[in-house]
Amino acid sequence: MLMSSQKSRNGNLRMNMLTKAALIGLVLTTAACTRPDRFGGAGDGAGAGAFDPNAAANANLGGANDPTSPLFFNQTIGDRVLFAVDTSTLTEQGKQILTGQARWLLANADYLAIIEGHADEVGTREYNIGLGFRRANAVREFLVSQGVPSDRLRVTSYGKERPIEICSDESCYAKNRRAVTVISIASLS
Amino acid sequence: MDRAGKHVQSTGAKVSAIGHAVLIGWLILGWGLDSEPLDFEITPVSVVSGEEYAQMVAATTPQPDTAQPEAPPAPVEDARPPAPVEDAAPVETPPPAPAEPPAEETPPPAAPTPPEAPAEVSDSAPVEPVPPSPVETAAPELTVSPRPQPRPAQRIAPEAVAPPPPDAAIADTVQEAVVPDETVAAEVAEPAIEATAPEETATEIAIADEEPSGAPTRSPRPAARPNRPTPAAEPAPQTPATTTTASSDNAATDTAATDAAVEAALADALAATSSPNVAAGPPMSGSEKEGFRVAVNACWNVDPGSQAARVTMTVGFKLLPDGRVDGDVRQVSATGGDAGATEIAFQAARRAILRCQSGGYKLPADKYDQWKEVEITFDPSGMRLR
Amino acid sequence: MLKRLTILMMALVLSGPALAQSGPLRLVITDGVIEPLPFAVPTFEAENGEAVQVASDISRLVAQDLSGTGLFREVPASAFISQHSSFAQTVVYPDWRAINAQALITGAVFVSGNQMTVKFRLYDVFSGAELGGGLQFAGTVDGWRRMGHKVADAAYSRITGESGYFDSRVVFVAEAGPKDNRQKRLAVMDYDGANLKYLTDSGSIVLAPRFSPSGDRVLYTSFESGFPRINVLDVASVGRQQITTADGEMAFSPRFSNDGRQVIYSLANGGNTDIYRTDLVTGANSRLTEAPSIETAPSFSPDGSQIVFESDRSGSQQLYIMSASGGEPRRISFGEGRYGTPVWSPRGDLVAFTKQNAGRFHIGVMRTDGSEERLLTASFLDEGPTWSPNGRVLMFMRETQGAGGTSSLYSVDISGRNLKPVPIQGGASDPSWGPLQP
Repeated sequence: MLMSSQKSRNGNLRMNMLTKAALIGLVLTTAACTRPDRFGGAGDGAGAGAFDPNAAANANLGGANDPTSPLFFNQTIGDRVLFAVDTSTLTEQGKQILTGQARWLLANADYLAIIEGHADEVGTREYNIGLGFRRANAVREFLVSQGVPSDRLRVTSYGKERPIEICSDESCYAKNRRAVTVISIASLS
Repeated sequence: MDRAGKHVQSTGAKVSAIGHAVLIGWLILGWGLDSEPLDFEITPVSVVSGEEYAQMVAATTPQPDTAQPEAPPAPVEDARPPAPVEDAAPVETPPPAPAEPPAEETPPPAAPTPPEAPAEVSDSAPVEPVPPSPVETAAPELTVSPRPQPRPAQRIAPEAVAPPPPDAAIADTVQEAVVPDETVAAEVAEPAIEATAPEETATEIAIADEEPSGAPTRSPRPAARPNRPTPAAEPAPQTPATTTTASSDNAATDTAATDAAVEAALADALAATSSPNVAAGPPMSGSEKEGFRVAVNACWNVDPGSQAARVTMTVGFKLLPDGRVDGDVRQVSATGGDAGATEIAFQAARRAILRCQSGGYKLPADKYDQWKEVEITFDPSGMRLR
Repeated sequence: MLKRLTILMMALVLSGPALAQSGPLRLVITDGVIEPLPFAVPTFEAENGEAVQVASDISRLVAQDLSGTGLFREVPASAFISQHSSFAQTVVYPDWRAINAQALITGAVFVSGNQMTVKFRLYDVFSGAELGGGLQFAGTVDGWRRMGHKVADAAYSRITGESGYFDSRVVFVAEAGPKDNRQKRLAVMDYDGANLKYLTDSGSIVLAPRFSPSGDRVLYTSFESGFPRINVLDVASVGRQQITTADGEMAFSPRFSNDGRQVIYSLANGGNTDIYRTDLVTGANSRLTEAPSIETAPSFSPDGSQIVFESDRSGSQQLYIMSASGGEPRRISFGEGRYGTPVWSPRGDLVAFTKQNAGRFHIGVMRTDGSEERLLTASFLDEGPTWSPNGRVLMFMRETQGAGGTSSLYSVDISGRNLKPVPIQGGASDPSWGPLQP
């Protein structure tokens, strides 16, 4: 498509618009492709109060180009930071991402965030919950230091229970050692 | 010698020199110090039936060889009983093909056996219940094939033992005939009696998850010696009554210093030493004690995870001259556990002694006085962590 | 005088051998054998026609229980010389000695409707006498497995001097699905894998359940709300409720106290995880550790006076013991690697743990002062040991490597022997062994 738009540079403006529209349409149709029940619960948000961790997936107002959309947050700014083995210290790259997150959160004050901490499988179960929590908290503290009000942020940890990569070596482990900031609408409870 | 040379003039020195020379020369040449090698029977390694063992035990002379003594390890597995006799002679006959499959048997055994021998050995698969062959010859150093790591056997014992031939009598008395090379060093040398096939054992508990492979590190040596005329066969040793009396008196006089006591002691001591002293004899040798110890520990079953494994138990008992236990075994002392654990440890110790006597422990009759009362301390602390 | 002394000396020397024989022969034996004890269980007598099948089933179960410990070895019926088909008949000891059966278990079963009685006797063949008295159990036919386990427990304890563990249950997490979408639900089963029953659905993640000391309730960590919380579940009614803990963002890793009235657990707050205690009756909370590190996986000593737990305050996960009311912990693990999930043995003498070192996981035990550390297993991922009621056996979870890896439960004797899987359909993790049932 890009090639066709380049070829028709001289002339067909409509071709360019068509291309852009097609692109936006493609993005819009694929925007809902996260599993609402990806964490096993069928939207079971009982007792979470204002925070519904499963509502984020349903919030797809606007496409990735809309800087106010959660999708933009997830895909352009980046919703996750990674950690080295056994650490909960933010890397430089992580801090950059989080700076972007903080800016977005400040610009879009309607949203709350749950920060989920995770660990790789090479560790005991309960300790890994604690480790995930440390990572999530490191993210929260950084966001707070960037000015995000702390009552808009909550943390949780899944330990090693929710890996996204399931091979058993470092290439997968590295992706599992993460803290994910999940945007949610503040629900009126 | 130089000194003797200097004083060659004095008679005493001459006598001394000659005496020394004679003594040293005698020792070197060893006249009269040789002992004939004890007769032993040669049997194939892994197939000996119960009847065969009975035969070997009963026999006191070597069986007439049906084949050469130095023959290759005659076909142990004998789907063809007559075959060994024939094959023993023509060493080159064994079909090469069957040599391949049983990998553990094919590596040539130790030196004495010709290279073709393994092929015969491996004619059939390893350990199998087959009818016993007639007593065939096989070099004692038969199964020296390399054994990989110990496999986790059901039975853990100080020495590793390969699985016994299925027909062999698994006797309580784990006595193994002494055979040169490869046997565990601590094995008994002297009071070797009938050899029975010990149960398969391993030397250590195989750690869970380690890959078990291969067979234990040693194979059984079924070659047996006939009973040498043991002391038990002799008439009962003379009563050591006088000896013991003398000893107690001597002990008393250690502290007493009166002449009268000394006189009495002298009289008693001389009397004691003048008696034949058959009962006490020279001190028990290390190997005799070792033989006794080995005989008992083979029946001492330890459960390493139990509370009783923390108890060090000392029991005492008396022995009759033929080596059987006289009366019952009593507990002398115990440390390390509560009442329940101590009771279990005592029962295990008692069983070990009573089960393994099987007719009487083999102890030198001429030293009966030294072993008529025994106290054994069972200390499982080393076994717990194995 | 000198001459007399000389003669005395000579006499003493000459009678030396006689002196040396004044005491018994003393030996020390430090090497024994470790060998399963052979036993025989002739099929229990069926006292009426309806009892035939269950009598045979119970006999087989008793044999399986005992053989499964690794401490006993069954002598098969094909080797019996005399058949002991009647419970009342006299035992012909030489016949049993001849086949090297050292213990003989006989029994009889009577069935009436759904009620059943089981009688049994245990004989010590070596001594030629009965060991202990006869016993009789009554129960339902449906509960025949429990009766069989009770018979086996009685035989086991009489022979080994320790209590058994066969009539017990294990609560665990049943798993299904791929690693990145694991369905987990609580389940309870007999120690040998039979009678499996699910306690929750797989709607949300559940972790690390723990039986109460009396076996009536289960504590576990639940992600129902999206945040780790502690629930208590009643095993009989399968009803559950969330436990109110001290204020904090997340609560997990709960354990009962020995009287079942208190819960100790980890509470996470502001990035820090510490150990807290809540009284279930009064609702009072107290904080037991205060350190800017992760403290979790606590476990009470059998007498309830101390707690062992893991902490990474030293920079890596290690084991610590402290008084049950809090206070200064002392470290007990000092080997190479990391230590976690400590559990105090019911016998009080050992602590079992998970150890990570050089890319491998191990289940191990050490004494409560940290000495005599022994590793019992090794694999890609072993973790989460739990003790049998008599402190002789450990059950744990083993997970295999790779994208298709699954978890299953294994058991091993504390001597390191007899490692074997627990037969469960499907994946399983986080076992917790309940008490011997009354």
